[in-house]
Amino acid sequence: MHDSVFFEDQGIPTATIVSTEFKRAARAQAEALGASDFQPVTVAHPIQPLTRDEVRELADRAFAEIVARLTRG
Amino acid sequence: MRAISLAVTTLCILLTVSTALAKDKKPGKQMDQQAMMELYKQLGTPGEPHKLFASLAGSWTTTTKEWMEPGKPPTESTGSAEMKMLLDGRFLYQEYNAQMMGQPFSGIGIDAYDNLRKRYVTAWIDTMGTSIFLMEGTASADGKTITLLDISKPKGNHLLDRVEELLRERAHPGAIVRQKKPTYARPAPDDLRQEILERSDAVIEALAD
Repeated sequence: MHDSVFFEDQGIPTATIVSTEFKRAARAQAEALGASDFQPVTVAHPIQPLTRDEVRELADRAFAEIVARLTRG
Repeated sequence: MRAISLAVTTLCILLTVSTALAKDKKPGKQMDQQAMMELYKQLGTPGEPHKLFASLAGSWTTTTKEWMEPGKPPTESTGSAEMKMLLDGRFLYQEYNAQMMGQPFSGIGIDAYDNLRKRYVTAWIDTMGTSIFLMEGTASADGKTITLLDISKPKGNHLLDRVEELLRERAHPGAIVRQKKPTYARPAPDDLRQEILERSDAVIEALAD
């Protein structure tokens, strides 16, 4: 989260992908760093038991939101 | 009257397509009817841009910020958008309801990707006016450099591999740079941060779980 907030602070649009279990911690960390409106892109948890193809499917489902994060005004 | 309008519209579309096809035609060689019909079919078939539209279908809660004066904080309001695909996945339809300057605001939009002209087109109407807004353009990251930052958690690379493929297919960025942090447990080293900062127009970081 430190890196995402750092890049955003420098004016670089950043999409940070986290699993749903980690969303709350990610937002709390970002808020502690002064980024209270930080919104990660979330994918379903857990990740580690998934196959390669299942992880790739998560990317397919999240892609529109990733693009939205990078292109928001 | 409706039938006449439809006939005229159809004629206009055929003329537009025929004109465009004529540009591709080799001199002295007529395109046969079957080949032309195949091309019409191809131009009418939803592709990757339409899949991207389909991924937006559903019920959305919206947050809108309006900056009315420079230097003043924005006013914020919430609303909703119902989005669905029309005509077998060819168009994205949106009904939007929210507040604008404290008043109820509703709008309807249709988004298209024109396979012939390779451009996105939007028609928009709303309760603030009586005009139809027509907008068009391209969705591209031409010339932009996007950095994919792997935080070094297992399987994050599989997700970023697929994100890279999708970016290449759909956004056509100038460059995609892959970077990896030594460990997810600490921020990226300063020199890596600096390198990313200097080279990137956007960053995608994954995958924390």
